[in-house]
Amino acid sequence: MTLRAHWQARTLRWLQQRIPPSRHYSLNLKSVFIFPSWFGWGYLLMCGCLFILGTNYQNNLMLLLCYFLLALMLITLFTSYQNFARLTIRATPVKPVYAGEPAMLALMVRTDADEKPVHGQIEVTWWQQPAPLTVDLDSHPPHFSLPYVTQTRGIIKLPRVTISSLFPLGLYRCWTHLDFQQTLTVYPRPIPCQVTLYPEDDEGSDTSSEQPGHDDFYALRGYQVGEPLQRIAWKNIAKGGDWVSKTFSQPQRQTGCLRMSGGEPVETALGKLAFQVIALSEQGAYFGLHLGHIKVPLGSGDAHKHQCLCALARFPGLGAVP
Amino acid sequence: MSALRLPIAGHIASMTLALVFLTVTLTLYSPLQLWVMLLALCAVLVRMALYAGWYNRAPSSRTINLLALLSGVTLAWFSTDLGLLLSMINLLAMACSLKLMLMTRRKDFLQLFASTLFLIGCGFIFSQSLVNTVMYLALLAVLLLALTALFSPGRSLTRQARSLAVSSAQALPIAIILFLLLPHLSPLWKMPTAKSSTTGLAESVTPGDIANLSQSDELVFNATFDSPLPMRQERYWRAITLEHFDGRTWSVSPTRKQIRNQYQLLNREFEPAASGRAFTYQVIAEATGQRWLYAIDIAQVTDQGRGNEIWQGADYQLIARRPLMSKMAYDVKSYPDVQLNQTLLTLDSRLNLQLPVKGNPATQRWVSQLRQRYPGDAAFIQQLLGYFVQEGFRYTLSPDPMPLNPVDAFLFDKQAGFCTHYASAMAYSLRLAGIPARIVTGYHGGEPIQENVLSVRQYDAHAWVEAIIDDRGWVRFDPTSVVSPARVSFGLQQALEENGDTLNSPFDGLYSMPLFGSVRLFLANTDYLWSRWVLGFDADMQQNLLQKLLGELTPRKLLLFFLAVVGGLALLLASYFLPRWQPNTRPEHYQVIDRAEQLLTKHTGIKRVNQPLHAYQQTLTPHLSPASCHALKTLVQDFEHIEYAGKAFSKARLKAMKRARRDLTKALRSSS
Repeated sequence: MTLRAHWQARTLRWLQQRIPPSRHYSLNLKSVFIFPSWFGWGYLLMCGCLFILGTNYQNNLMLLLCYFLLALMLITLFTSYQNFARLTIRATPVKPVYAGEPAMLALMVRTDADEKPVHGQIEVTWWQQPAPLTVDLDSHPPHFSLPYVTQTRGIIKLPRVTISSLFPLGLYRCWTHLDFQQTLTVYPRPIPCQVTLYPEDDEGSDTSSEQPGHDDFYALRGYQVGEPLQRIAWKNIAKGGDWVSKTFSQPQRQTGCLRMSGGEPVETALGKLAFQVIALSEQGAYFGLHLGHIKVPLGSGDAHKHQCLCALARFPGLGAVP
Repeated sequence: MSALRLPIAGHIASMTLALVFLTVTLTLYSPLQLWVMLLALCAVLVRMALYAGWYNRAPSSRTINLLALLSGVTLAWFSTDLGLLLSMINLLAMACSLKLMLMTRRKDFLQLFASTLFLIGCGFIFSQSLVNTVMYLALLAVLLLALTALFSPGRSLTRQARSLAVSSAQALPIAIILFLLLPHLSPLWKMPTAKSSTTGLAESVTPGDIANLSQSDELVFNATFDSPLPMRQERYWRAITLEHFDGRTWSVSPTRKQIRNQYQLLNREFEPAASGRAFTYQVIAEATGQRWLYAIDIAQVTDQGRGNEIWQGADYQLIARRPLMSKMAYDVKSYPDVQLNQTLLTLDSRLNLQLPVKGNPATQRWVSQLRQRYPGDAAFIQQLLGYFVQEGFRYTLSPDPMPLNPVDAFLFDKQAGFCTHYASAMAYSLRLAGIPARIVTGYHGGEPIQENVLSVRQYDAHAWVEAIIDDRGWVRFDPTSVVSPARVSFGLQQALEENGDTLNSPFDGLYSMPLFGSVRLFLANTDYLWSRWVLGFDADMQQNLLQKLLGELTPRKLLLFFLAVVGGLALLLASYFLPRWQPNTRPEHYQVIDRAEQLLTKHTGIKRVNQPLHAYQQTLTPHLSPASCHALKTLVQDFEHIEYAGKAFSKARLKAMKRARRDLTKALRSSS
C-alpha cells in the first residue's frame, strides 16, 4: 500500500467517525470544514503588501484600508460558515444501471420556508474527483443529479460526496464529505445474441418451438376475411393468384432457464445473459436463471428482471468485481 | 477549481470589474503614463465588446504576449525618468490591462480583483483628500460587489448589495479598533519616491517663479496653535534659505549643503537657545515630495518622536529626513523675539557676500554711488528701501520678462514685479554694498479657519531678505511690504486688488460672495479635521489616547488592556453571529403559538409532531380543564384568523391572542 493510499484510508476512517453515513444531512459544526482558499491567501498577501506600503509611506488611509479588508475577511469567516451550515441535503436511492452508463445520484437541497435560504454556488463532486458539478442555489431548483461513471458490473458502494462553497467572497472554502449510504448495482453491459432457453431440469436440449407471430416469415395460407391487410401477399394477387395471406412465426412464450454458455470469457457470457434477460422480459416470458450455484426461480415482470440482473451483477468474476 | 471558465457575454461581474479598473486608472492620472491609460481604455473596450456579444472570442494570448512585450519595452524605456515607484505602478496598471483582455477564467478574475484593490491602495499615496477617499471607498464597494456577484450569480444585485453592506458595517468597527490600537510602526525601510510629484517651493528661485504658485490655492499646511495666533506681521514661515546668486537665480549654497551633510554624519545638530515669548503649535504639512518644513523663527521641534526625523539646519530651517510622501505632523515652539545670532557669523558672512562674476553693471554702479553717500549700514538700507517707494515701483503678478541682466532691468527699466524680484534686487544690492545678505523663501500669512488654526495655501508663497546687521545677527527685511503694504498686512488678494490686478481665476467673483466664502471655510475646516485626526493619527497620538484611557502606561496594564480588547472583539463577533442574540424573525403570532405549544406539551406530555393546529387542539381537549380548553380555542381561532384572513385586523387579534395565551397559562397552572 502506497503512502498516499494509506493516508486516504486513514482519512476515510476518520471521516466515518466524524460524519457517520446517513441518507439525510443537516450540516453542523462537526461536518463542515473551512479554510482560506487560494484566493484567500492571496488576499492576505495583498493586505500584507498594503500594510508595508502604508507603514513605509506613513499613510494612514492605506493602513485603514488594510485593516478594513482584514476585518472583512474575519467577518466573512463567519458568514461563509453560517451560510454553508444551513445546508440540508437528502439523497434519493440511486437506480441500477448497466455498466458503461452513468449512474445518477439525485440529491435534494431542502429549503425550509421558515429558515433563511442558502446562497451562492456549491460545487458537488465525488470524493477526490476533479470536474465538479456547479449548482447555483439561488437560481436552480433545489434538486440535481450527480453522475457516477461506471465501468464494470458489480455492487458498488458509492463514495463520499464532497460539497463545497466559496460564498460570499471566495476567501474561504467551506466543504464537507457526505456519505449517503448508497449502494449501486451495476448490471453487466448487454451483448446482443440469440436467446437460448434451456428446460428447467434437462440441460442441453433446445426447447424453443415456433408459434404464429409477426417477426419471421413462415408460410402462406388462404386469406380469411378479417385478417389485417398488411398480411396479404399483394405480389401474389398482382400476378393474378388467389388471395393469400402471409403467416409469421414467433418463438413461443415459453418457460425455461437461462444458463451460462461455456467456452467464452465470463464477462462476455454475463453480458449475453443480460441481453437475454432484457429480451425475455420485454416479451413477458416466464423464465429463470441458473448461474452455477446461484439460481433465480422462474418468474416474469420487472422485479424478476431486476433480480436476475442483480444475480448477474453479483456473479463472482475474474478480479474485476469487488 | 481554478480552471473554471467564466461566461463571457453578459457576465456582469467581469464587466463591473473592468469598469472599476478603468475608473481607478483614471483617478491615477498623475502617476500613470498616458499610453498606459489608453491601454486600459482599450482593454475595457474589448471587455465591453465581449460583454455585449459583438464578438465572442477574447484576443488570443499570442497577440497579448506581443503587446505585453511591446509595452514592457516602452515602460523600460521610460522607467529611468519615472523612478521606481511610478514605474511599478505603471507596470501594475499595464499588466492589469493586458490581463483584462485575456480574462476568461475565474483565476484571472480573482488576480485582477486583487490587483485593482492594490491600485486603489496606491491611489492613497497620491491623494489623501476627503473627496478622493470617499470616491475610493465607493469604488471599493463596487469592486466587492463584483466579487460577490462572481460567487452568487443567481442572487439579485440588491440582495447582494445588502448583505455586503451588512458585512462591511460589521467589519468597520473592527477595522477602526485595529487602526486605533495596533502599534503605528515607523517606516520599515526607505521607499522609492515619486519624482514628478514635488510641488510648492523649489531649491532655487529665479525671480518670477513664485508667481506660478500664486495661481494655486492648494493647501500647504495647517497650523494649530495652543497659544493665540501670531500677528499677521509675524507670520513669516521660513522654508528654504537661499545663499547663492548667479546673477539670475538664487539657490541653496553648495557650501552650506556640504556643511550640513558633514554635521548630519557627525550627528551634531544645531540647537539654538531661545527663551521669552513663544508660540506653541502643531504643523500638519501636506505631502510635497520635498524635505522642507515650515516654521516661524526661531523654531524648536518639541515632540520626541518627530525630533529624530527633523533636522535643524544652521540656517534656521527645518528639514525632514525623508521627503514628505504623505502628510506629516510635527510640534514646534517658536520664539519670535529672539535674535538670529547664534550661528558662526563669520562663516555666514563669507558665504553671503558671494557675488556673481559678471552682469547687472548698472546696479553695480548705482550701489557703489549710493554706498559712498551712505556708509552706515542702517542708512544705506533705509535709502535702498526708500528707492522702491520714491520711484513708484508696482506690485504685480505678471511682470514683463527680464531675460538679460534681470536686476538692472527690474531696478531701472520695468520697476514692476513680484516678491522675488524685490527680494533678489535688494539682497544683491546689499551684497554689492558689502552687507552679507540672503533670500528666504517660504510662506507669509495664512487664513484662520478656526479660532486657533491657520491654513496656509500655495498662494501665500513669499520671499524676503535677511542681512547681517552687526551683532544682532540676521535681520529680516521685506522689501515687498514697503512697495505693497497690503501684501503683508492683508494678503495677496488684497494687494492685487489695490493694484487693479487679479488672480487669473474664473472664480474670483465667487470668493467675494458670502455664501461661497462660508462653504469654502467649511470645506477647509472639514479638510483640516480630516488631516488632523485621521491622516495625522500617529504613534504619539496613539500613546496620548491610551494614556487618556488608562492613565499611566505600564506593561501590565497594557497587557490587560489588549486582552480586554481581544475579548471585546470576540464579544462583538458573538453579537453578530450567535443565533441566540439574533433578532427573532419569526412572525409574532407564530411566536405566541410556539410558546403555547411548549406550555401544553410540558403540561400534558403530548407532543404536536406535525399535526395541524386544529387536530392538536382536538387531541388535547380530553386532557384539559374547561377553562384551558376555552383559552386554547380562542388562541387557535385568532391564530388562524391572522394567518389566513390577511393583515387587516391582525393587531387587535394579536393582542387577543396574547391575552388568550396568558389565560391559558393561568388555567393550566390552576388546574394542575
